Amino acid sequence: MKYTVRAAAIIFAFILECTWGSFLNIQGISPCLAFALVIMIALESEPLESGLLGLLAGVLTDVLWGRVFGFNALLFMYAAILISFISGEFYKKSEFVTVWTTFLMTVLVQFISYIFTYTVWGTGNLPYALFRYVIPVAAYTSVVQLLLYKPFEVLIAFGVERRGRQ
Amino acid sequence: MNNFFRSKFFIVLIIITLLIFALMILSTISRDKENFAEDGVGIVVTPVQRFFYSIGTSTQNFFERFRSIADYRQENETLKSRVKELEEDSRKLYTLQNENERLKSLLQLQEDKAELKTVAAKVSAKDAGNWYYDFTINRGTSSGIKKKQPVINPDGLVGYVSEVGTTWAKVITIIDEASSVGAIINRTGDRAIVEGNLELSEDGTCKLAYISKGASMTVGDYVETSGLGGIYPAGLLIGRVKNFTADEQGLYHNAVVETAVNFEKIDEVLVIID
Repeated sequence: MKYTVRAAAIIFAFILECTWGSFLNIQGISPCLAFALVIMIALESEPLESGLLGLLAGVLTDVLWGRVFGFNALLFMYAAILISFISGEFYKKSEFVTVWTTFLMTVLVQFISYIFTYTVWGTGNLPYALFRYVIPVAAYTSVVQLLLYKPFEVLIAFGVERRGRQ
Repeated sequence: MNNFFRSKFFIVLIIITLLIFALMILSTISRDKENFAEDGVGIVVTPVQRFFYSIGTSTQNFFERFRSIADYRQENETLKSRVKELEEDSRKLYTLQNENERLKSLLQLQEDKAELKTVAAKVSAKDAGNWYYDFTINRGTSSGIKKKQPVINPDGLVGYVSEVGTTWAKVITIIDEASSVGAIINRTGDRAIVEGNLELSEDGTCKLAYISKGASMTVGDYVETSGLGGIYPAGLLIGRVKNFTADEQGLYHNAVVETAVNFEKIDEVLVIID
């Protein structure tokens, strides 16, 4: 139940992102809703579960927007596993930690995406990309994460509570 | 740490990673159609995307009705002055139209313009990522669409089909950095390449590169496809020269093209299939 709810939530967040994302767009910047949800789940889950859910979000991204199928799948999966491993050692549940983790991981993932999309092919402008896209996307995603913290929290706890009652 | 490397989780992780690497290699090999997994997910997701996209559009339209009265008053004043300008333009255009019709009938005899076979498609989703300027349409191989077919709309050239499934296709727009189009300046016949550029794309503009030193273009000149490159037929409108800077020291001049298409507002397109 827990996995079904979380997987469905990620699919729903992804559909919102690629349909209503253009309406949330500010100056060419859209928040990464599905990735924000993956981070929130990864902070409170085992590496295996968060890795699989990260993989799901990445595969969906690859299917619709990826240039090389599998790139985002691997990136999201390892990002989720990394968060789970670190949070298993240090995480104390709070909005502050979640938002900062979202910011830092989004910067990391967007930066890696940029490197593989432009820099390795000898194109692009790193400072421009960093200040025009990477950091604004991370900041916007973090703000959205803060706004959606409570709904996400309820959603993540949903499957667990249901299983407890059974 | 040794336990981790011997754990089932680590083995599963390695297997998944290798599988995805294999898929990455497969996906970079040129294919006429996407693999089964990509096509299947695309078939399921496209109608859902279209549904949410239409809800989004309706919601936006609903809230736009609540704009303040002050905005409407100001808009009314602007529109009144615009109507006066348009009436004057209309009178001039009437004269030009008569002249144009005469010239067109003469040109008609000389031109042997091939008819383009097209398929109409609706945009089902726009790129949610921040790096690309792509969108997905609701037609695919079942409608005769293939990779590298040009995509246009009533305003001009939009881009080309980059990937195609049974009922969906992805379109890379000409403002995307992955795009490069052979171009010709309508007035002077100078040739150049229109390239997408990350920094220019946010304004809906492209770079006009490799302009020869002898080129004599000016701001406002129309830029069309030259037909070179194998994807786009000649004569499709790309846009107009927005600014032109002569580079006295380099090998070529550079310019910026304002695209004819407004990429923020694309809902329907035509794919040229023949």
